[in-house]
Amino acid sequence: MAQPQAIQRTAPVERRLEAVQAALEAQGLAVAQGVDELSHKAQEEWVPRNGGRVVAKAWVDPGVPPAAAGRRPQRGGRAGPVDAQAPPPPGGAGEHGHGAERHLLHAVLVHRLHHHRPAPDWYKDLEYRARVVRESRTVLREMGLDLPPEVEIRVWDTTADTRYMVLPQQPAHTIGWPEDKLAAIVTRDAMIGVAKL
Amino acid sequence: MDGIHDLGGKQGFGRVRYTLDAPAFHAPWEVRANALYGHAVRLGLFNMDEYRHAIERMEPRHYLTAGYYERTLTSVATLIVEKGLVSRQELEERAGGAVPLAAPSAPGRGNLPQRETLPAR
Repeated sequence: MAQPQAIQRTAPVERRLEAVQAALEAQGLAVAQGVDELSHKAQEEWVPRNGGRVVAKAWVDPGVPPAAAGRRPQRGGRAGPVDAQAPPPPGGAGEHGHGAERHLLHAVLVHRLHHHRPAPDWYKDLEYRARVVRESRTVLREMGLDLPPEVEIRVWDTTADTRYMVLPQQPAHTIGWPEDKLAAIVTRDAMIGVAKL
Repeated sequence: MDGIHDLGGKQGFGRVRYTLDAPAFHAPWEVRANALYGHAVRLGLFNMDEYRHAIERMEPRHYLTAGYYERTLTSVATLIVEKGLVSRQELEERAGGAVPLAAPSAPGRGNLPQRETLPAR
């Protein structure tokens, strides 16, 4: 029989955090300054506009292949959206959007096992992680993105080793815009694949 | 281990609480918890794989009810105790209450009969 333990109320989470930080400080580890610095970075530097600049560069740089850049395909075909494209799967066929049989594809990201940081709250919630891999179309619709049935949805599951970014399709009316202006229209949610631009 | 963290495809969850321009943090302590974890990795107290593993080892009920940054904090607290940097008692004294930690690392579940897993008497 284990010894009965005194019932002790769990300390509030902020007190636990302070305790961890203070205990490390007491070990002679300079923690406070590093925490301040990384807090600043997480809020001011690791921001979605970094991704927006990458997207804008891919849109305007002719060196980036169309499939990777998510440009509107040149050939006619159907007018359905190729909303977003992710890198081709390892070893798989990744040609979408500019082949003879154009594939109407929408990419969406999830971190099924964990989380991203600093990601939007809903991305880290249990609901999104559990459901988007099983009923992606329903989840996207609930989030305001109603994709036509002919659009295939592919969910890219981030792992500890691999992170993805969706390269959204450039809106037609922005063709020819300067890179700075393009970068400003890119949203975090479009780079996750739950919204269009 | 097929832990509680492996949520993909689990059924019964409700709507995603989606808002436009959703924040990553809701309180200053969340920013600090996130930064503390990053800084601890930078100091070499533990690595990111250990950090993730400690979250995966959280007691399932605690995992499901803790928010994202409470899981972060629980992992950090667990690892610094396991590595002998601080004691759980010290953390609990400083916090003025219990500090729940993740369960110890253990091999995956087996299905051996009990007579093969208990030490011989």
